[in-house]
Amino acid sequence: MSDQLLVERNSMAAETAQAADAPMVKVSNLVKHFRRADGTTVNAVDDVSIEVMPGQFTVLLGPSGCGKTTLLRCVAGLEHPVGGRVEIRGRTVFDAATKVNLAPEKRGLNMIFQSYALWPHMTVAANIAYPLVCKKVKKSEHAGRVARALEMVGIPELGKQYPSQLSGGQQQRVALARALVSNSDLVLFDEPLSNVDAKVREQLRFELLSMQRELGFAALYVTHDQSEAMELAHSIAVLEKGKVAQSGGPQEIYRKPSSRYVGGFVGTLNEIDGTVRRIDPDGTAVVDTEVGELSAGSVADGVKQGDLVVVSCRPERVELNLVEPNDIANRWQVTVTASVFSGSRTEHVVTFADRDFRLWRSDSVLFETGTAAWVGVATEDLRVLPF
Amino acid sequence: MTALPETLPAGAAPGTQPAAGRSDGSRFTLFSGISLALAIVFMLLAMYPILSVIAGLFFTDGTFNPGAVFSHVLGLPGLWQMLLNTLVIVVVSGAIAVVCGSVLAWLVVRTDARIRWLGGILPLLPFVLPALVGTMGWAMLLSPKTGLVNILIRNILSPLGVHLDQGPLDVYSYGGMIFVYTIYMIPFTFLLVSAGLENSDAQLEEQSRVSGGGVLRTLFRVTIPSVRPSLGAAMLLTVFFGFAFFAGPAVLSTTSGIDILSVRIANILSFSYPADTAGAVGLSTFMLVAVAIVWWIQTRVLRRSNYATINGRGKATEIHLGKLRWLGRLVIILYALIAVVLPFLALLWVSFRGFWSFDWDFTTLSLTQYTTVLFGDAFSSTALITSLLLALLGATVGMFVAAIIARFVRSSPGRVGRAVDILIKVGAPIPAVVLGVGVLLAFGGAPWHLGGTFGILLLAYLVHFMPQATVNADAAAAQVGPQLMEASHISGGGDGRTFLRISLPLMLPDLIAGWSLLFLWMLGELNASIILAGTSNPVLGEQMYLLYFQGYFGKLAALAIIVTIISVIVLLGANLLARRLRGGRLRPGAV
Repeated sequence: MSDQLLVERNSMAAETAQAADAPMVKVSNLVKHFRRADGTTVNAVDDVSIEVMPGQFTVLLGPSGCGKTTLLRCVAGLEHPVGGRVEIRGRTVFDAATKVNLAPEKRGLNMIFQSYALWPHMTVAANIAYPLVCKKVKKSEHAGRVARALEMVGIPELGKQYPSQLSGGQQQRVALARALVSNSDLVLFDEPLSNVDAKVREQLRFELLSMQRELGFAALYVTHDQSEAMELAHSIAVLEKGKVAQSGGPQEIYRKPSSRYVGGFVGTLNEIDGTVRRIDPDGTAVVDTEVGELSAGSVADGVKQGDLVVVSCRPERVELNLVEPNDIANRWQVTVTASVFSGSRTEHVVTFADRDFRLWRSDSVLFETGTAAWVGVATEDLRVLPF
Repeated sequence: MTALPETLPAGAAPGTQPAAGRSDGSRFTLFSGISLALAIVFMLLAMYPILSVIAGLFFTDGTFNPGAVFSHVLGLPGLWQMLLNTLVIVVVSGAIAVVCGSVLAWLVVRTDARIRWLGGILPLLPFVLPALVGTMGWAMLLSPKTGLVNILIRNILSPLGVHLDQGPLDVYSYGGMIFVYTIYMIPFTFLLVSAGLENSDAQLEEQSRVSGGGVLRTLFRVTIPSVRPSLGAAMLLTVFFGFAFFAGPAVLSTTSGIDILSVRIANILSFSYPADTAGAVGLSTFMLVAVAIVWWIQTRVLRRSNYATINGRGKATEIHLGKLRWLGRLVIILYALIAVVLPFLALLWVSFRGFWSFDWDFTTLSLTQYTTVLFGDAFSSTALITSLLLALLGATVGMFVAAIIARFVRSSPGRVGRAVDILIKVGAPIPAVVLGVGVLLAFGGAPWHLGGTFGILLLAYLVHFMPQATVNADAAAAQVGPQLMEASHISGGGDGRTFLRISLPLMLPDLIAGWSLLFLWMLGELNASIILAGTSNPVLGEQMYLLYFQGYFGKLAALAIIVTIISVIVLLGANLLARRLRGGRLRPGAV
């Protein structure tokens, strides 16, 4: 990217420096319902509170219908919530109690739509210049800033084209340039990568990441793709039926999910039912299960002694051996039912007590179906979740 | 339109209170205020004349005297015969039009008899040759003594030993009237039934064919039942149209002696002295009642028929008619001949010949009538200019307003949007003749004194065509995905900028197509004009009507040909322009 743009960014960052530890977006107790055709109401967003810090990449993650896009659109001002509060840069843009509801154009943010929403009757350059026109930037600056934005997204030669003449990936870049041209410090993304093919998606994801880290805008990003969320996010909010199921950094969400829903959504989860015998002061727990006593390194909030629980672990954290691994705390006997080579790893399915476990190994050793074997999981890799 | 500034603060009150957090969730802005105000103004402009008509029923010369109008109307000579005539002709023509329109629709949509380019323009044919002009053309072809077709038939029959002084066909008869009504009802039935056929699941028919049902069995057992709601709607629409239809019967009614409701209303108001306002008001009530009944039935039928269009997928493989294919094509071509080509040729001949005569004398053909109409005859040339101005102004203003309202209704799913949509369409079922009577009562005298002015015509046209204009504009608005507007708001564009820079340009191709239809309707408008146009502001429809009854057939024909040529140019030009605008971009951003 050009130095000049970077200077502009930095000066803007300096202006807002005093607010560096104040959230860029603060959503408090937001409620939005939709009326179904049969007259019943559905809470699409149900008492949600989240924060987006300046320069941070925050991802709203969840399956379709969990309310993540509705939440994003409420922040943008495109949907009208019925309860709660939205603040942007410390300024209240929506408040149900005091009936404040700022129009989207007055909220000072940018957004990239799932369909890109490029205006087909304007050239690429005119599309990108539009926010500058709206914000009454001097006309003499337009050409230069559009050119710099185009260069930044890697398509400097396409300014005179019409959107319909571009590929999906190029359209995506134009949408990005349009969102970035006015140097906004807040950009919303509504599943922007779901309409391009896998190869382009990976490339764009990488570029988006480096661009965000370099320019330092705050991003609120909606996706249903957990690997996309893991790669991009500083912090993730996993949504379930209009509520925030868990929020935190990608590692925390993956390693320490708060529920089976979150754990299962961000990755594959192996589960064994059990009952908590005791929870030690250091946070480890002993759980009675059908494979005997297991010691788990962490326990989700709210789990108490005597609770029915699920002991969970990730497939890549399970050892698979033909002989008993005496150096691992938790180990039990299994039968291999499938063993498949899938390129970057081998995948195994093992059975014990009518239960399946999935295992991913980085070696390429395959087992015959029916082989008797041992699995072993370290204490730190087992987590106790509410049933 | 003059009422706009007065209505704005009272009706809409933009900015009185931000409506955040309301249950329908819409944000009240200046744009929605303007849209709402426009809708209210047009609703008032439509309702005021109708209320004037109703008030006219009960008040005579300012005193409450409901009995006077009723007894006067019931005492009109031949009242019941006239109502019976109207009812019989409308119902019989409607039934024939449903059958013919359905056959045409089936041929065009489902069979290999379709002629692609003709199928698309079939419903547009009556716009190319307006009903007034077309009916006059048919009068020239089928009048018993001097009609070209009759002369032709007599010339064929006479060597065979059959000698006739006149006929055998007579356009000035029940048959002739029904023929003309049917021609102009067919486009409606064709449109509705072909839409029904396109929406019904073609796989149902294919299943029937696969199960061993032949073409005919499939047609009667599967196809027709599946479009039954469309057939019902088509039947109602023909009745609806038929009661209000004026141009056709206006040409034929007097000579044939078959009195028709719409014609009588215009006659006792515009062509009798003193004008019988009370009679016109009373008769208008009959028409309003008929139309209201049909409107009521129609909304019920349409509501119940929702289920018929659920399965809107699967394009049927076309049915191969074999040798019958050419018969099918002949039927399609025959309709085009009847609706446009034959009457046009008759008028063309008369315009060059100078008077109504079919003597095949090619030596006397000239352009005299055209130069007379354009430069010699002040009334004709003034009418041409007035109508062009009215159509240009009316279509442009109408389409612009309709675009604002359609955009607003689409982007506000809440109660305000629904209210605007209903308000703007309130005037739809009011027949033009009745609207003409109402507008004259409402705005003709004190305090407006608009009688006979350009303004009253423009007002009547706008009010009459606004519901249709909003339907067209809504089709245009539906083409533009909501995210394109949202992206503009996000980029910092307000409502006004978003409408002018994003919505309007993207709707433009379809708006231009809608504009061209509006232009043509206004250019040839007759029903309301005949009541409202004064001698200082003659308009085309009224002028052609007068020329016909004064016997200036040469001038009339020349004027009709000029109107037809303008219509074709506008229609083709608008569609070419729209296609070019659409062509610049592959998809208009359907999100």
